Amino acid sequence: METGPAKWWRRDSVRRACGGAGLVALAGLSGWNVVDTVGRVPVPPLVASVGEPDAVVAMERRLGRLRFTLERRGLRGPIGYVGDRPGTGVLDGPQTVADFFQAQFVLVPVVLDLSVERREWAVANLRAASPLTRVPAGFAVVEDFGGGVFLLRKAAP
Amino acid sequence: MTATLLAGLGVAWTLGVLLVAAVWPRSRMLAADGAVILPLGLGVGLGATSVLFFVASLVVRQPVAIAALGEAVAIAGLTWWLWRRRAVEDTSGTRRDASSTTGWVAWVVGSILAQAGVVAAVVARRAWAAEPWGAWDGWAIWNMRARFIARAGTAWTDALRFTELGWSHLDYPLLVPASVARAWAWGGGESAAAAGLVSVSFGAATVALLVAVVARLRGVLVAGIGGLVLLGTPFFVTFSANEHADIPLGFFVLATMALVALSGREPASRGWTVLAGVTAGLAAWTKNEGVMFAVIVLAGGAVAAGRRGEWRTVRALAAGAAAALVPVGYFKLALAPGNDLVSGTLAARLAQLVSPERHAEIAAALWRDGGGFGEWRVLPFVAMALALATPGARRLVGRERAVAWLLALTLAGYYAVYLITPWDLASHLASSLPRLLVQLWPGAVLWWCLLAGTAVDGAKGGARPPGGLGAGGAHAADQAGPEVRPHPQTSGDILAAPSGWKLSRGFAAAVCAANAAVALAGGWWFARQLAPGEEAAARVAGGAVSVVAGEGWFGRERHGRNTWRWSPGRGELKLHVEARRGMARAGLGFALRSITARTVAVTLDGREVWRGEAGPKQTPVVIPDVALRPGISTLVFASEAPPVREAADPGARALGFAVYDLRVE
Repeated sequence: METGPAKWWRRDSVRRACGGAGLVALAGLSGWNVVDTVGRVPVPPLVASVGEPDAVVAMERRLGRLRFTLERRGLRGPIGYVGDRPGTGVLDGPQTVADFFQAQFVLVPVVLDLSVERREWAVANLRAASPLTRVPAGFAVVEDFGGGVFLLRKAAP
Repeated sequence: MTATLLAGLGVAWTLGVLLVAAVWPRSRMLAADGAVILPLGLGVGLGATSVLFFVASLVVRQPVAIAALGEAVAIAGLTWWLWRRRAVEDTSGTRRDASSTTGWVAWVVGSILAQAGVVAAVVARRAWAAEPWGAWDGWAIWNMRARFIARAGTAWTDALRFTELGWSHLDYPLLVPASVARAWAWGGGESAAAAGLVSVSFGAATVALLVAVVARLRGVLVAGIGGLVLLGTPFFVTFSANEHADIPLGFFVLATMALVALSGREPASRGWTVLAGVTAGLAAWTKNEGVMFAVIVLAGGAVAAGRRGEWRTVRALAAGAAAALVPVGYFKLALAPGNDLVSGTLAARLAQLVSPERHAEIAAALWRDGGGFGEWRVLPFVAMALALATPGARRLVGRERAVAWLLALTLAGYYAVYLITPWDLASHLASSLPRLLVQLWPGAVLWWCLLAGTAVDGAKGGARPPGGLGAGGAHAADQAGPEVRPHPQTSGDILAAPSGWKLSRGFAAAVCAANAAVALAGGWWFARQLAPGEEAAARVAGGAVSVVAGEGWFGRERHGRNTWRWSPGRGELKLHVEARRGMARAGLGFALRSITARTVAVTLDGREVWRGEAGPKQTPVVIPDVALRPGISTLVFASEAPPVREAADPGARALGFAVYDLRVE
């Protein structure tokens, strides 16, 4: 025969009260979580020029003219990519790796290849390094878009 | 956001609703089941149109026209089919166990849910504005694939062969990218809003589907609270706008579970089972985890139904899945490279299955992220468990038990993949486990809802318990189909209206008034929130103005509702102005204060617009009707008088004047 807490727990009224309390508490804390979420997401500025733009949006602006030039020249498929670090070293730094992937997103359908020497065309996306040091041997600047963005082409041998 | 973009979404939704309605059990009234069909149709429609667009993109450079033609033909055919079916059916005997109710519970729960939905929509909008192309995977995988489809014509499949793009997981299925590319084609440009709209649509459809299905199976109280739990999961809400494929996959997982649970209501009809197969197949078309989920659904369904000799059910499930798996199969076998998780020497990795260290690491991550993936301020789990104490709760009937099985088996599948992953386990867990858990969260909430309430109508294969939440009383009797009508005296719905209690017009009016008041207060609260760095902002005649602090100010201070900045003697404010045409016109309001009396001049781009005295008491100032050119204007506050130290301490600030409570009018 059950006694004590077990018997008490078996009473429907107790369990109904617990269940009801659970639902009310759940509704309340869920509502609190909904309201709390508001404080976690930054309010967008009323005027777009206020504040720093999203990094991908900034890269869209940075490489916008280059993209249209590539399109105008009918370039597709793999072309070389030159960043602030040599070769695959681009993938070693958080800023350079973000630059590389974001540039790839912006420049679709071109496919960026860090092995520049294999390609006739290349783009340079330099924030700190001088083009004098980073343009690979055998390549020449075809067009300078400003801000460290260049279109490069392998010079005729 | 253009009208054509919205039209494209509308066409997808219409097609989906018609597809769902076409296979909906004939014994049901479509109108009465609309709350379930509409959100289901949105997901199915986006899935179906993504398949059409994908197929068209393989054969023509501008696939939107041929895809739209296919959509139009499908809509016309389905409309004819449904019209013809309706004409020949005798609808007098169709079931109408509608979840709609006029009880006060529905009004109150519906109101709270609607308000939470509006808040969640605002949050999702802001999350999208912070990252218009989504977070890393959003742009680096899903939107980038959409761009290849949109920009490269029929040659977009070439990109799948370039090893240089291996980092972007070229084998991932294409429901989301094809949907985004289709939205761009309809909208006439690659707008981030289109990608965000596709993403948010799945989040909204997930909440709506959960609420509708639970309302059908367990009543509106549990349904509303289930919806609140989902909306009260911050990660779900913010991630809905993040343009990943996890929320869409979560939708199809939920839809499959819901349809399997519903199918127990009409075992003789195969419509819901066929649809469950379709949604499982669309899960596979969404993400690789969905492939595993589809396999689990098909295998589990075959085993469970096969044991009972229900081979027609197995065939219905397989037929639905096959329809959706055709594009997945073609993409995986003919176009995509191998998956990095299963490529290479699998035999060596199978040894990892028995590695105790890996088991411990995965278990620890599950414990950590299981409680934290939702990014809750207050964890809901204890309250969810407490709610199951109700008499009559914790009983699943008929095929509802499959929901738990599907959750458990899918989670077990994820666990097994982590065991054999070739990647570094710690980083793999850290980068993916919260997303995997959010995929299953809507399904888990469905499971909890089914446990927390009791069935509201005739589920086959299970006994009806006498009590439970959200189902009993006159309210449940309203909802019950012809097979089960719980007696009000024996029901245990603690919040149900008493038998015979009629909802008065006064109560309805009071609920509407309360909703309006909350909406107004919420709108006012949202409108006065400022972006980081903004001092004031407002929409004004002819445009919008946002004010940020320039040089010459100390940090912003606040007391109660008052905010202010001190300046040593010359401070600049930058007015960022957007004008629809020509100049924007705005008024500027603020209060000035200084420790000792002094004259302060205010100039706008070198032109004096105000000059006056400031003293120890705040001097209210209004500069009405200032013409502002588009771009950035500079508002300079200057005083010739020397600053005064705020205290005797040598390190104390030298203060000229303070500008209080700046506002743009």
